[in-house]
Amino acid sequence: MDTQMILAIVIFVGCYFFIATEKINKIIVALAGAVIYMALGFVPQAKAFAHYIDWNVVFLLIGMMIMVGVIRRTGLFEYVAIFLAKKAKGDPKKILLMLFFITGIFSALLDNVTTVVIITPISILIAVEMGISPLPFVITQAIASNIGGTATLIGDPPNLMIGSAAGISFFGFVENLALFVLFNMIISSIVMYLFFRKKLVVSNERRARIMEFDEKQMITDKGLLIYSLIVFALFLTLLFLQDILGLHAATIALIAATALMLRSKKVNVDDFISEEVEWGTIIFFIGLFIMVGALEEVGVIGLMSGKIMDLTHGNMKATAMSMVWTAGIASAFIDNIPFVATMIPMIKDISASVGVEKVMPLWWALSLGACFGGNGTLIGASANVISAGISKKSNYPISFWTFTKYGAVITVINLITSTAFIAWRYF
Amino acid sequence: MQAMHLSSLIDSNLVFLQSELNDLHEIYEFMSRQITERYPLSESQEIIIDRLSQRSLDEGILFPTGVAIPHLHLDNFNDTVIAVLVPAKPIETKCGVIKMFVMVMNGTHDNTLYLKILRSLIKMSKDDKFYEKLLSQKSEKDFVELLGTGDFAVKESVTVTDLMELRTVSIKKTDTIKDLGKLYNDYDINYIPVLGNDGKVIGEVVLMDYLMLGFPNYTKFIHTLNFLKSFEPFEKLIKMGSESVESIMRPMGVSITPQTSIYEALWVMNKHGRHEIPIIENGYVLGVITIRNIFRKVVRG
Repeated sequence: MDTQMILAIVIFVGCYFFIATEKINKIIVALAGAVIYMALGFVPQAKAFAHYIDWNVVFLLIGMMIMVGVIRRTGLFEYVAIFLAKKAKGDPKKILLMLFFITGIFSALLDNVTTVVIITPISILIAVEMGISPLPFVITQAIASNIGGTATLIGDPPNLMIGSAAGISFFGFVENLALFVLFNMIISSIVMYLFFRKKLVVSNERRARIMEFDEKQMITDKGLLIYSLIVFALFLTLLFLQDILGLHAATIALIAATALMLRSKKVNVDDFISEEVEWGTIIFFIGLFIMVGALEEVGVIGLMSGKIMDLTHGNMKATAMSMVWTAGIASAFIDNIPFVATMIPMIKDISASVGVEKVMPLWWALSLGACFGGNGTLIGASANVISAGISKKSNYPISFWTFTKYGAVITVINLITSTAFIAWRYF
Repeated sequence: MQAMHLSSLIDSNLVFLQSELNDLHEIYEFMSRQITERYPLSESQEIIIDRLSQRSLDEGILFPTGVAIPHLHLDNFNDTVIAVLVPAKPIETKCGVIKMFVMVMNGTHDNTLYLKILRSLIKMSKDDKFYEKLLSQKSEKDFVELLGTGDFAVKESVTVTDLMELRTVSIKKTDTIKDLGKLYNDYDINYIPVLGNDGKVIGEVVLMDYLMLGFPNYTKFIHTLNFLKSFEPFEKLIKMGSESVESIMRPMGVSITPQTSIYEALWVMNKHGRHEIPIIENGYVLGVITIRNIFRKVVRG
């Protein structure tokens, strides 16, 4: 290992430390890391921009953010939440389960944070109207969003990055993970039900209040809703046909985003884009891609992947098993995005020596570990932090341990099933 | 513009001391007749009196020091005329006591001069000793001469404190939300500064914040509340009555200093989307300016 490599590692570990401890805003840290590497010549700017930044991921994120921005305004998700609460006849146990599953489904199709930002307030309202604590709802929905997001390419940022890097299509994710994720949703829902059932008791009077909600009022612009649903259906169809059409996911997302923006002509497009696209997140991703690119450029990634292969003696099964748990535990404590960004070039490096087909289990192991791991602690995933934040603002604070004691149990269960799933399905 | 002295703008023929008149309408009539007799105004006296009477004293005419400054802009009049009337006994009105009338008429050509006159008059009336001495003058000539000895130059810049009534309705951080509601009920105001134990300002509340207390925070994240048929947010507001103002106030936002010009104040308010702004010096609130103050005293004046 030469001095350049040591220096590169020191900078990287330093940045990781600041991202994990949140001593400095993570966007600034990622950008600072990228700038330092480029300024020191560890990675030339031209190569960083042309080669290391995964523009497919960047534009897929932008496209999804714009789409979500439009669809959110239709009130569809809130409509569904209230519709289900009424279908459950105001029975809190049924509502908890229904909202758990619907959150999982939404979050498979949208990003997790958006899902909880929409679902959490409405379920707090439902809980308050029922006169029970909203905490079981908030916690189970954050958990559901992390599990559900694992099912598809667009459900969670780690999948987006993995799909883009490994060339796995939307259909590839659905084919490999969707049923297994559904299985985990079912197991987790049973566990959550057992945890919370005693707290979910409501009087007839309170139950009647739920039945009085008029969910139709949630849809304020029916035309926009219909148009959005058509575009979203088209979006999913194109994603399913991705392999046949030979289109990248970003192209498809941008087609849908453009189509949706055409309809919402009432809003100022400049304002809409600056409001709905989280430019901070975009810069965070770009910064990370450059940072990891620099590690690759100076040879650190190659060295690390070589070490992994030495440790496991090239045994893919052992590597995949340990990947599930490493990714899972790491993601419970630090942001899973930088972790996945770092692992991706290592797996690519391994695939260069053992072949693309042989590393497929590693990609799935990384995806399952990183996504499920987010439930491990309150700080494991943005969705947890955001929904706890909304709950706190509504005077129902959720402490680190309150969330973690439920989240950790679910995570351990999910990681055990994942280990078994990978062993059964891929070896 | 050169610094101009207030006294140089006053015609001693239009100064009336120890006046026995005590009816507002009669005083307006008398003063405007005196002006129209000496200056060729474009409007008839009836119209002038009519226009003056349309404005109530509390619409930026009567200032807390007891000086009433009725003012008119006249078309096709290229001068500024100031008439002064000091009643023998202060006149009690429902808007406060009037110790002195200063009627100002000017053309529409220059509004800034009027503002500057207003500023120096208010400054003069805040100097208690000088003001009392001026009010007790017996001769018109002495009155103008005495005014000339004071440092009441009609200066360039009009600042917020020169023009605004300094309202000091505020609330202590330890007061309750119920107390806050009472203040909103008793005063026709929107903005209330919150003071710490040392009397310095530590936060602020606006009427909207108070009313929105009844809405739980989670409702603010929901796209519409139409679906709730029976939602009673104000029940919660009443229940919260005993909580402290500190627990609901927002941290101090933008403020201005007494030296800020009114144009700057308006600009700051617009930039921050505010309808009112506190004037703060050394951590103490001197008053609050609203866009309505500015409209009444600057534009409509």
